[in-house]
Amino acid sequence: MTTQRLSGFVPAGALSREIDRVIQDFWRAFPTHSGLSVFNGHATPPVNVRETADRFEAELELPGLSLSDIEVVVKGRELTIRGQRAAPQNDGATWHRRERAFGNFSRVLHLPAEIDGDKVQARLDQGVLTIVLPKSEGARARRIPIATLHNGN
Amino acid sequence: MNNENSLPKSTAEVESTERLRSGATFRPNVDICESEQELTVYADLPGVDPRNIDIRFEQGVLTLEGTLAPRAEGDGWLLREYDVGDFRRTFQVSESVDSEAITAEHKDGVLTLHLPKVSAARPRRIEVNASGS
Repeated sequence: MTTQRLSGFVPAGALSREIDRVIQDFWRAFPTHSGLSVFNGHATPPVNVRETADRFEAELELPGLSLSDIEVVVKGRELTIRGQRAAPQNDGATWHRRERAFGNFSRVLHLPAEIDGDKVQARLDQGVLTIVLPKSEGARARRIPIATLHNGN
Repeated sequence: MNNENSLPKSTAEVESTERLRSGATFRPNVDICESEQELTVYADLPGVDPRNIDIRFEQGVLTLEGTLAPRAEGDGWLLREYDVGDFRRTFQVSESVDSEAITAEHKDGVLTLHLPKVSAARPRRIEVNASGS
């Protein structure tokens, strides 16, 4: 399980790893992807994360999962999403096509600012998990008023 | 009973036609399994409103398509690993399917399609009556 650091400034090593991963994701994703995602023991569900002045919003596609299959943990700047997707039982049936992936997954995202853990909200709607993570009071971007100095004429 | 070699043919994917419109068309991931009674298709369609899913079965071709408005607009992205949009899959189904009896359900972003076989296509089990003593 690796921690992913989300920031505009990424150390060179981490950046190349990130690029590798993006390229792999791209090739893996291109024929079948997406939005409509794949995960299994080796892969992880893709995540979109955006930042506004006062919060982060993370979104994952987790089709077929219910709330009891998903665990969201926030600690400091770290967001952990864990879950499992059970394979459907089809006793005696023959599979013609198996593209969907099942199993356990986890993602750990290191956000660039402290999170107010008490105010985090997660919603699962038709297989899409949305997590709203308000920044802690001290971490919010503040607009600093700039005083205009008039010439005392 | 079908043998292993003939099975994949019953749901061959049809080359999708070129679409003259902007935006990518996504290929949702699909599982297809066959029992004695039916073919069952599972499609991962997270975030898709069931009203925007169009399912057609014509002349042995199953088409599954629909629309999904892109969500990842605007700025402030720290991580953008996926995108969403209109989707389409098409399969040639060589099994005899009772098209009137096809049903579909949508739950937690997964579409499940049931395509019952017409009775002639089902393997018939002939009961052998033991002439009792």
